[in-house]
Amino acid sequence: MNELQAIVEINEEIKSIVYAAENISLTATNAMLVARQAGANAVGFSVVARELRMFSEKMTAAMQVLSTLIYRQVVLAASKRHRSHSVVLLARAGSYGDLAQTRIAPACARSQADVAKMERLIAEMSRELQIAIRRTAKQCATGLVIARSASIEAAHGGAMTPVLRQIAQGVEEVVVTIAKQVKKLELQLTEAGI
Amino acid sequence: MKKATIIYQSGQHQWIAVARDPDRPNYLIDTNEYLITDGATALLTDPGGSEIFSMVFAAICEVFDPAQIGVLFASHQDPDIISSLSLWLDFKPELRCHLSRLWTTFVPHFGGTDETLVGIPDEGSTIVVGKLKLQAVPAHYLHSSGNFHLYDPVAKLLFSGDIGAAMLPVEMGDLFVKDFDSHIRYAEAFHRRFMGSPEAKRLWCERAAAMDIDMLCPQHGAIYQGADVGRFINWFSELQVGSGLI
Repeated sequence: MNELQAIVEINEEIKSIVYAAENISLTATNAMLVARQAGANAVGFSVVARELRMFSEKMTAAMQVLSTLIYRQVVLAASKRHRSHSVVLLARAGSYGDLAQTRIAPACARSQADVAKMERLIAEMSRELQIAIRRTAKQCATGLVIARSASIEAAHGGAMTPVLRQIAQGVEEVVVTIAKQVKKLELQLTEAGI
Repeated sequence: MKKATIIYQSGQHQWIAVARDPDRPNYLIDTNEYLITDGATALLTDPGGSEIFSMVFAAICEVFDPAQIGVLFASHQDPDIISSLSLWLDFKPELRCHLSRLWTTFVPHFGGTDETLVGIPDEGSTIVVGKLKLQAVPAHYLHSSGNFHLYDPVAKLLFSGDIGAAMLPVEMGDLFVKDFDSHIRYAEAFHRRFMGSPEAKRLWCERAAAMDIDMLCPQHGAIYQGADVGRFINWFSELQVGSGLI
């Protein structure tokens, strides 16, 4: 798999995480509404739901960062691929003899320098991407704690307990899914060596 | 590798045909490039596709310093005409490319900026190369809707883009047409399919017949010279083209 294909795969993975993160936002809103309905019985759950709401906002911001970074990576990797092809074609002109080699050499060197610059930028952005993903992974760990707190608080919801439990379970499922996807993403980035 | 052959010379004024690449893969259509020089400056017609850039560049190096090429001329916008533009610009960023005004926002998809492309108005223009004044002659709809040929009134050579093109078998590798009747069979299907307008064809034939042309130099196939130029114009004027149907 070439670099561009690897980055496109990572882009697809990030898109699926973004989609899951959108679900957590909906779930958090739902949890706050149900907690309000439950009234005094669900004070604790209400606090957790607010935390969940904040968590979902942080996740949305994190997803925006990841999306922006990976979009730039895709653009850069595609440009680098195009430029690298130019280097190959220019170098081929130089293979026809000393005269052609001498004349094409400066253009070849310039194009190679462009490719090297793009490689440096891709490496820089990959480091940023890895930092952003590690940050997201930590957020997911916090999200799991909140989801488990929601399960505990749901038990004090009186008549609303079954509904609150169902919501808490839903939240946990979404956060676990995101956490798994983030883990997979970290692995993909390492394997791709970008 | 392609071969560069001087087909016209008068002092420092030259026409050099870059043609016939024995190593060209069969899936790429063969093309002819023409380098028109005046001393230390030159114009290159239809520089070709990116995949053949290396062959064209190396062949030119044998006879002329490519750094002295100041102008490119693209008869129209097709990939076999000008998709090598970005590579030429890698080599020399200040190159200018003259082509129909219709394509000045299309061709930059191959490379270049708004400074690279010089749009030729529909009625044509004069392109100065050293002391030479080359004429961009309208040939719209033959086959592109924004199409130009390039006439050198001093050398009496006309670069005719796709007009005169022939899909020749490998064994007919001569640079010049040797036997018009056997040659023209390989031009017929191409002209019937690619030349879209009988009216445009009639106008072009009238214009070409009125010009003083020693050689008609197409982008594909062999060059017509002497009496074969008139023969070709007559043949083309009588050819049924542009029904709009296959």
